[in-house]
Amino acid sequence: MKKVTLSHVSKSYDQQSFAVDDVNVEINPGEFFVLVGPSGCGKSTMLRMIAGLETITAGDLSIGENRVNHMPPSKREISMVFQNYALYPHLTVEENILFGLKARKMNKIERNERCQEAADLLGLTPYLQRKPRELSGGQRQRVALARTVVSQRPICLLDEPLSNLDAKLRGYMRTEIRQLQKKLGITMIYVTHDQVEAMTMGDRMMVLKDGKVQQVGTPLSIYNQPKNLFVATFIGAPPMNTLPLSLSQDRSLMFMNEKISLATPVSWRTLLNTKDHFHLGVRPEQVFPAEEVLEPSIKFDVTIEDTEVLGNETHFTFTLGKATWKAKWQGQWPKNIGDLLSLAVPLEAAYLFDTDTEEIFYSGQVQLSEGVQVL
Amino acid sequence: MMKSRGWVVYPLLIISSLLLFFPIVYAFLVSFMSGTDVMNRSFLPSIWNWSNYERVFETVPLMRYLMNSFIVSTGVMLGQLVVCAFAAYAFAFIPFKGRNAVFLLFISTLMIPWEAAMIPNFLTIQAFGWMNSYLSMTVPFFALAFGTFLLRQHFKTVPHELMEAADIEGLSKFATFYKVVLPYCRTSLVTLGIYGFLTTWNMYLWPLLVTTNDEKRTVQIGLKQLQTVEVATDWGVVMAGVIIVIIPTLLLLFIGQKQLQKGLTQGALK
Ligand SMILES: Nc1ncnc2c1ncn2[C@@H]1O[C@H](COP(=O)(O)OP(=O)(O)OP(=O)(O)O)[C@@H](O)[C@H]1O
Ligand SMILES: [Mg+2]
Repeated sequence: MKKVTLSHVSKSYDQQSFAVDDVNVEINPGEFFVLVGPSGCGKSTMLRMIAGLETITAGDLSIGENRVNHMPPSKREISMVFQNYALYPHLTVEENILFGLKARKMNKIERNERCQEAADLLGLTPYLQRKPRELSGGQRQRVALARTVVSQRPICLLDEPLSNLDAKLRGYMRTEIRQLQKKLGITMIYVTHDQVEAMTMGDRMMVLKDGKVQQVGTPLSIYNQPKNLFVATFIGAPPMNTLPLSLSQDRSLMFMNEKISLATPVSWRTLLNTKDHFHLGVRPEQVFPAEEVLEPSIKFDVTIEDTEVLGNETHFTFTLGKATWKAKWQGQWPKNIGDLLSLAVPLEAAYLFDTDTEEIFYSGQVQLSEGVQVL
Repeated sequence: MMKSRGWVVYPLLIISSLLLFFPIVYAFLVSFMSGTDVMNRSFLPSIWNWSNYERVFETVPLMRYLMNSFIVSTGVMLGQLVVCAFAAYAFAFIPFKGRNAVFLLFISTLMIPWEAAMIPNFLTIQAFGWMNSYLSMTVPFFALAFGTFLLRQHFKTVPHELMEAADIEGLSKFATFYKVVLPYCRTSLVTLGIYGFLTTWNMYLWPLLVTTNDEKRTVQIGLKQLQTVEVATDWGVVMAGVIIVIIPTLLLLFIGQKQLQKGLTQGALK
């Protein structure tokens, strides 16, 4: 098994801007690695460079110990699953699955054995003689996965394989792909723009924006310790609430706008000594009813602008300063639009971001490394 | 609404199909008539007999002509398919400097009528010593701008992922071409094949120019000969010849149509 290493990998299509900008990462053998980011951030470009379908403008790509920048795709020992499945419409399911093995001139007995195994694994046995157009979306995607299985190649690249499926099937295929990866023990590099997929499937994930790596880490570490404002708001549903605040001269007040201010928690004052502005970030599930919070907290009163009751949880929408916030409470709360709410955010649930760099400089929960002050 | 439209549309369709079919139907009827029937301009033969069909095989070497036509048409069809497919592949998939300019130049030859190029072509063929050979009737037609255009347009619709998947599986460029691109574009290939076969089968002027003996002549010229070898043209015999000549054409259309429909319903896979 081989690891995939990218060092200073960049890609430019137009010689002016970078679609992928100086990416450094090491993907371990047997890992489920997810590339996630908004549309156009360079995920597909990065994956296609690893596959060898796109040339690398600068930097080195290695698989195992070898630099493979110029190695043709077929020599890289990879398989790939595409968004629209890339099944050959003129071939049956079986021929589609065996397409690559035939090209590699594998003998017939072994070929059929592998096909049988893959078909069993993915529940495709009854459909082997059908044409792809006679299958449902989920079945087609499973055929595409079966191709990966029979290829027995150690690295599998997937580019938004579930985005053509409906929500329910997507949830089902998520577990299926994940189980498949564990069973085969192969490395999977998985591209998605859906943060839920990234959170639920990945061993580790990389968040990209405008071609630049924002953060790499396990889903939980990224959720709990986002490095900057973008990651904080991209990961999590509903996304993290943020609020730009400006400080009074003596740092005792935090202004949401000209009129409304909050008292700066005492424990933050030294921390904010050097700042005039900052962004406050709070996850919706950390915005509690004021009476429930006993530890040090920020308190404020708001008017409910919208409520969504989702069976076992309730979302409230309200405005704080110029920002729209959401609170997520467990259970069903019979509140109406226009009702007043007294809310509190425990200090240890707050994230503070620098307004200019958008980097995080304080998080109540955890000790942050790299030049972050903790009180 | 739909019903009243049907009352208008169907009679119109029936009338136009009758108009279109009349010459062929009448040729069929005439081919069974005796000389007197033809002279009397009767619509139906008074006695149905096969003698015209026997005579047509006696007066000219029709089997020979049919065979020549078949060889030439098949040759042109295959040649066109191969040459056009290769050219279209280059224009669709291989990025090279000035590709669009070359393609436009290629397409612009569509505007030069074949007749205008006939004299120079004839001289070339003569210089090659290809008179009275199958080569002269096939090779000049291999490179077909229309066919290249047709195939290129279809090739361009082949999803990139299909080719990339083949690339990852380790297929060579050529293997990708004939295992992925060609099967995907089968419909266009069939269309072009039928088109090539039929146009060549019906060609008259060029085969007349480049052949001087029965050995290599095609059926269209043979038919013409039926009219001139006799003192007074026996239309019954000529029409018998015509019917025999259009049979392969019709057969091809019927078979091809089925193939075409299959290809069309197969469609692309989303
Ligand atoms: N072949 C190309 N030529 C020029 N620019 C390209 C090409 N492919 C992608 N780009 C540009 O590179 C950037 C990254 O594209 P990429 O396809 O990698 O995005 P992505 O993250 O996969 O987005 P999505 O989630 O929408 O698929 C985009 O700005 C895009 O316009
Ligand atoms: Mg993409």
